[in-house]
Amino acid sequence: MPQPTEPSLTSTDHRRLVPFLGALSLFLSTIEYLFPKPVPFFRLGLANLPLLVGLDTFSVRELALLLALKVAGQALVNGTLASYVFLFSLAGSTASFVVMVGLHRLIRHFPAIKSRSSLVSLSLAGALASNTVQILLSIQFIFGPTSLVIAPLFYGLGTGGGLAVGLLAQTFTQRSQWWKKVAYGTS
Amino acid sequence: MKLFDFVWLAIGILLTSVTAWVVVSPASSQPRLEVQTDAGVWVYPLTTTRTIEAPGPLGVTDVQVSAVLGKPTLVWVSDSPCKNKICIEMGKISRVGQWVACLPNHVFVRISGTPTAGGLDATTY
Repeated sequence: MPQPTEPSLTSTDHRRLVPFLGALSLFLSTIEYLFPKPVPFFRLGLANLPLLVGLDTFSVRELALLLALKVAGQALVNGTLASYVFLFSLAGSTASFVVMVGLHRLIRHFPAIKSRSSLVSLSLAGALASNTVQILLSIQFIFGPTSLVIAPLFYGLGTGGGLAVGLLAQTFTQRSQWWKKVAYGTS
Repeated sequence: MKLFDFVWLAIGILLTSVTAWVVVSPASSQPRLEVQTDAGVWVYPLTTTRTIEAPGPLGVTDVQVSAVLGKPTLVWVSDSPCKNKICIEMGKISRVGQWVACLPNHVFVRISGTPTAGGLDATTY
């Protein structure tokens, strides 16, 4: 069965789905908390999964709400709401959001590019944007030029994490009958 | 995976490789202070005067960094909970490759980077 390209959710469905995916972000933040990190503000990007999955379904406004839920959830789970780590997380997530949503909306106008890219591209682009912003902030405000020492590790783990999350999101949106039903009204 | 997925993957690998090259490249390796403890390694620039509290199994070892414009930055252990205080007696270090260690407290302090061309390896009296 061909996958529908236009979302068919009603506004009520959206209102139910956004907080559900926000809660999923919170759960994935908890899972991510189990992994050791080189610096406190580094994220593997697991909590980005609901955002990626929702790119085709939600409006920019709804995605922004999902981003806010994700950032707040991560801060609550990690106990970093009142620290500089929260600002780093917010900056990284916002950069990732702008790049992912921007690219997604842009390539819709270029069918040749759209047919040759998937959620893996968007996930990798988002991860690299997030890492770049966090490294720049780290250089500017925290550790100075020494921060460059963490850049290879950041980019390496970010690329690996972005790839894994992108593949997971792509597989999920292609194969999940539940997602097709709740997001597109088909199965 | 599709074509542009591989392109973005290549960009990620390229960024990782380039930054790794910049970090380990001898030409760009500025001297820096590395303080290693059981909890990990902290890296500091040698451009700021500061006191570093390095935790270890015996307590906290205090490492002083004195950066004065126009003079070599000096690093030394000013206080340590160890018994023999050898780390304090090791005095001040200022050049790449020099180090101070407090073995009982598992604290290792060293200046890393590229040695200055033409610099002396050591002096004796």
